[in-house]
Amino acid sequence: MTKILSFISVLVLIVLGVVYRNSTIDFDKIVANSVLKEKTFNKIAQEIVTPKGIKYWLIEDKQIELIGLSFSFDKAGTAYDEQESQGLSLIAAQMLDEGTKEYDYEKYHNFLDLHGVAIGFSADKEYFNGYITTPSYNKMQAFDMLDKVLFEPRLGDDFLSILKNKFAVSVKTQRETPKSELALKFKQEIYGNHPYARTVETMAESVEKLTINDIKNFLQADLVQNNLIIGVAGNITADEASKFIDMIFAKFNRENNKPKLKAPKLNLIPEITDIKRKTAQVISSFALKGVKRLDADFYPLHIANYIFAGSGLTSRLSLITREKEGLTYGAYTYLVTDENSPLIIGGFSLVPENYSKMKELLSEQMQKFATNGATKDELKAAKDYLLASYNLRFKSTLALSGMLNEMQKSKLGLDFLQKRNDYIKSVTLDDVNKAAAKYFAAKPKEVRIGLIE
Amino acid sequence: MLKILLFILCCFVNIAEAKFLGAEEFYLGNGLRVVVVPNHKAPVIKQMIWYKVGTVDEPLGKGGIAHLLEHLMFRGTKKVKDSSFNNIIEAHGGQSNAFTSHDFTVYYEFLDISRLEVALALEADRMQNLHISDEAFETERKIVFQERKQRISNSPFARFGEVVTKTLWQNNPYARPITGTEDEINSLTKQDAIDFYNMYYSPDNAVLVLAGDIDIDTAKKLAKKYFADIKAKNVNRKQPDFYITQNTSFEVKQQNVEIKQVRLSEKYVVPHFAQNIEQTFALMLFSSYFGETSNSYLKRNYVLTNKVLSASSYYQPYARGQGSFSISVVPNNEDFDFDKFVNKALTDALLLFTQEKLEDEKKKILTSFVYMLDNPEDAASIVGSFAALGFDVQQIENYAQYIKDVKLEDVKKAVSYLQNDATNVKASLLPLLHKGENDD
Repeated sequence: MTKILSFISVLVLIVLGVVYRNSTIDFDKIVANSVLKEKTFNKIAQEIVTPKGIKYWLIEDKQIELIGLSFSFDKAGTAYDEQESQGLSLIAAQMLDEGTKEYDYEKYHNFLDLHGVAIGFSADKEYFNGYITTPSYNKMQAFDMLDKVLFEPRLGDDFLSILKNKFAVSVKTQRETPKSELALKFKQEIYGNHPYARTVETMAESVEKLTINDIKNFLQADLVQNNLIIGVAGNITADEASKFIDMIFAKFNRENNKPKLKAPKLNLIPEITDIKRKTAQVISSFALKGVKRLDADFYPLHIANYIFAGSGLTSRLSLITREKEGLTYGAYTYLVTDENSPLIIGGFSLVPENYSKMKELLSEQMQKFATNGATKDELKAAKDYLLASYNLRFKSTLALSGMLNEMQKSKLGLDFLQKRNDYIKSVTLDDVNKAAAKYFAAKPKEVRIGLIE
Repeated sequence: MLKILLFILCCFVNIAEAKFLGAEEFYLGNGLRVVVVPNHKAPVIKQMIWYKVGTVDEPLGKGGIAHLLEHLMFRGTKKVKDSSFNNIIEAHGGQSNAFTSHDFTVYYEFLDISRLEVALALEADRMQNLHISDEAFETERKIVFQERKQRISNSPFARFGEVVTKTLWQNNPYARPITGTEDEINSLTKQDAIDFYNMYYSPDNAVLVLAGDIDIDTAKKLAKKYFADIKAKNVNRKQPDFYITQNTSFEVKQQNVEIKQVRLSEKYVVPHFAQNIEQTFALMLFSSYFGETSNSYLKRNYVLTNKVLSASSYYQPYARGQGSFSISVVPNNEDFDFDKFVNKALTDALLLFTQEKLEDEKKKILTSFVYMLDNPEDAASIVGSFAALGFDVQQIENYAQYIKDVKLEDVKKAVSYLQNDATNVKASLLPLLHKGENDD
């Protein structure tokens, strides 16, 4: 009897053990009972207009002894360079790194490093961009230096010739890796003859001929107040920020009459372009029609894309091609929502033997998604992520100045930060399914490298 | 009077040194070390768990097992089945990933502070309950194989980098590729992964880092709640044989049709924190002056005078074994004398590195500390790597003092070691031009 009893108790223990070990964790309960409660990021974005009439956005945060300011001039990026002076905006941005009339390269950089200040410039397709970050206790000297760099730049001939040499080498090395070679071709295929298709290769000839005068003219004519966007964040009051902004940015010319570029005719004809090269893996990039940021379809497509291949390892495409089949280290899609080039772009990389299986699954999944749409659970998972991850964007105060800048570029409105979660919440399953049907039914334009018969 | 007082106060604020990270730490009874970096600017937190195990700890012939196990940690436990780890993190708005290095395997989650307990529960669970199906193992091995093809085989630079590393480190475990070789990946078994997990994944072999909107008391409560019951395995490992004792110079040259521009580099095996802390910080300051900043000696004297297209140095002391120091150059012309360049540049730079320059270099690094207080993700990485190397929190917070204490004499010793005693490899990656180079 005792034997039986102990046998039973062992059995009970085993069963209990199994039950216990197999028990799952109730994560929702964990969150509901957590000592750590939900909070909202409580610093408000403000729009300020300076006494001299310059508009900028500010998030003041006294908890940190740092200030970041990001600025951009519209219609001053690489696509806006004249055909015969392609690359001018890029080289102008690099030339400003040489310092000022008073501070040569060594003195200028020494000053920045000793004061913990960073100043930098760049040009993308549309914009000429700049930023400054400084400890708040060095703000006077820092903004003073930014002023000098912009209005008394050194612009030496020797420095220009060094930049030209560097540029010539970057042209040579553009195609060294299969990935970079593919990126060049992809741009050309999608944008054709439009200035968006410009690369270091197309700029090479004109960069070689650029003069100091070209750069001076560019800085004067293309950086103008009515194309200016500014974002400021950190330990600075609106009064102080306005004072610095007036001191510096009011000196730019008021306006120019540069017209807005015409949008490119995007080549999305569903054909494959091959680059012949022997590689260890085939790399593929593909494109579909997308939406502009302010389009009514944006939020539905944003969520649809997230579900299809935008979310990383939990996306449909990842689950099937990576997590289940092990065909690739990664397959993804993302949205480009530029005013002039709304696209869905995707890509993957895998050994040639896996390519046809991958393509089969990709088109099967796209068809299925376009026809049947997403499930309720998928929509819930996507919304849960997008809503609960909201605060992550505030992790770096310095990065907030860039975010304020981007919000203005995309014309999101000052109240975007308050409204964003409501936009996400309001998307219905029907909205997502309509977007899936509208944007994922087409066959993509594809450019690939490394598939040799 | 008030004016003067205010003036003094404000000057004091101006020159007062900011704290380094403001980190605090404690240990649980099972040996888990927890480091907390409070940062209350935004309601977010970065959790990292650093296991003090990496590629160098792999048994011979089992190359890639540390990395494959890192992937398998996302493939299910007894309580969190299959790939649902990813779904749970996603549902709570978290971003999660992991990486493997020669020395460490690191898992991290970045999420809203209100969801931290989800991440704690998940990490505590997979520290003790890993449970992988045969099918998941096979699939993950295929994924890792594709990862190696993508990251290494498909890049001429990464392929050459592996050759250089192997030449420099020879039979030392730092010579191994982190992914393992293709053959190794194909021969690994599920049991290999389980053995490795059972041996090294234990609270007494890990550092938990919490950086963000949390205070030390809450961190203590929560770390205890989720991790205190996990039994220590008393990881008592034999450290791999790290040290290269012979002073040897190697040379590697590769010509490749994909390469269009000559790249030259020299890499040295040098002391690291645990071996010689004075020389480590000395070399850190020298490298910063010599070739790491936009205003470095190499940049001013070689790049801005048009002698080379680019020149830089890089010091990597964050290793359990020895560190490495490297100099990289993109020359202007084919017959550039790299040997002569390296010797002359190091010697000349050292001659010009006066006490005043040393103090400037110190000041630049100390001035940049204020930036560490901005982004909790950066703070977590920094504090995590130091903690995993064995620094206690006082030592980490004392970082400024280590910098201040560097003497010119230490710098001279460190550079002399480079020039005379360090095992090194000179690496040349060159174009190979021949007809029909694109169709072979």
